[in-house]
Amino acid sequence: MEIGPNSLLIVELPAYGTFLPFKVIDVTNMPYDELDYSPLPITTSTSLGYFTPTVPPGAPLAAPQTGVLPPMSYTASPVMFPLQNSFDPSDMFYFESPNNKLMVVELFVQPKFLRVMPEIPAGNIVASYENTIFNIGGSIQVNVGNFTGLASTGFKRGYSLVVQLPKVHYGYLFGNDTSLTVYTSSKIRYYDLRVAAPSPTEVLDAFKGKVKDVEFISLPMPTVQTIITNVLNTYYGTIGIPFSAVNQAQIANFIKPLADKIGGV
Amino acid sequence: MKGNLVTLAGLTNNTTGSVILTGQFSLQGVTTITVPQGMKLKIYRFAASGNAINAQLLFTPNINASSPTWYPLDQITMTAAGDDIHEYRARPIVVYGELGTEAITVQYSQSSVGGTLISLITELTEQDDKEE
Repeated sequence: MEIGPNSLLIVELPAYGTFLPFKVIDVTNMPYDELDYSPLPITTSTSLGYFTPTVPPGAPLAAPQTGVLPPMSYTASPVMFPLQNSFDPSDMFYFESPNNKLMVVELFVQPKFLRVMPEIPAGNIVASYENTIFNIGGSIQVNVGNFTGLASTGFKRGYSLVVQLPKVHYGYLFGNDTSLTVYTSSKIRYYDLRVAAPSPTEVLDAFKGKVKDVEFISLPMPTVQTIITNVLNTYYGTIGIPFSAVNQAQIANFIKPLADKIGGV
Repeated sequence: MKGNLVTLAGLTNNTTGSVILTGQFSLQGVTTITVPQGMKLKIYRFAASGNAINAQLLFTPNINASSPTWYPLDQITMTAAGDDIHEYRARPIVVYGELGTEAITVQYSQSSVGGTLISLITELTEQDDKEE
């Protein structure tokens, strides 16, 4: 994935049935976008769950060593990436200002077979069945984060891609469903963006396929989260443009408060 | 997704038994390698080096069974000390993780105690990988 100045970033919020369009003004950290972060910040105080119906005999309930995941285990408490001297040393991706800052964070995990699930916000696993994600009134009840047996859904192996919103701590769940006790590591690729509100025409053109440089990235929270709602209203003046309102007049209507907050182009 | 090529290896330490395999990512040796659901384990090389040995690469569909049934995938027979390498570059041995209970192991028997290195070059990758 490449995000450069003058491109569009469409952040989809399925739980809200909306999306937020942004025009990328600058990627402030380019071309130095990579960080090796090893091992994964799994510590001896990181509690573990198990993919098996019961905890295997003798299996540890916390990681046995820094960065180590035992066989068939997953991190049961949200994992954040600490970094000294960052705005929040316990979570290097957390930020609160400026209003027009966004981060796009890609995580490449080793070994590649590890399951990765973002938690937005931390503790709220994005994995769930699509009916729940899109909240279309389906009667299927999905126990989010239910690892009974091996039938969990909604993970990616060795990779994660999120748009980091301001003033929200994200977490990660890492899972090892092999018989190996593994050492873990990761490479982080991040885009420190300065964004503005695009014009309604640009947004409409993006949905028509007329814009070449556009990234659609979903934040698949299964349910509306108060903390996210507050951030959206505070930083963007809106919870987004409804998917049902993808026409120029409606887009213009919703973009105005966004432009008031972060500026427009 | 391309997986990690991982060499798993272990020295025999008895006249019969299962080889304890360790690899780059593993903290502890294991005698069985399970294949997670939705993934496949490719085996590109099965090799033995050292004392005379009969080593079998075995597969079971259900490692959770009280007595797993093992089926042979390959065998190395060395009647004298030396090396034997079975390589499958274009068409690796593939074990699919359909239920997540599939596993492989290497069992051996030899007249002298230990002294043979068994190694496997493996890749654990998603089943939608197009490199069949």
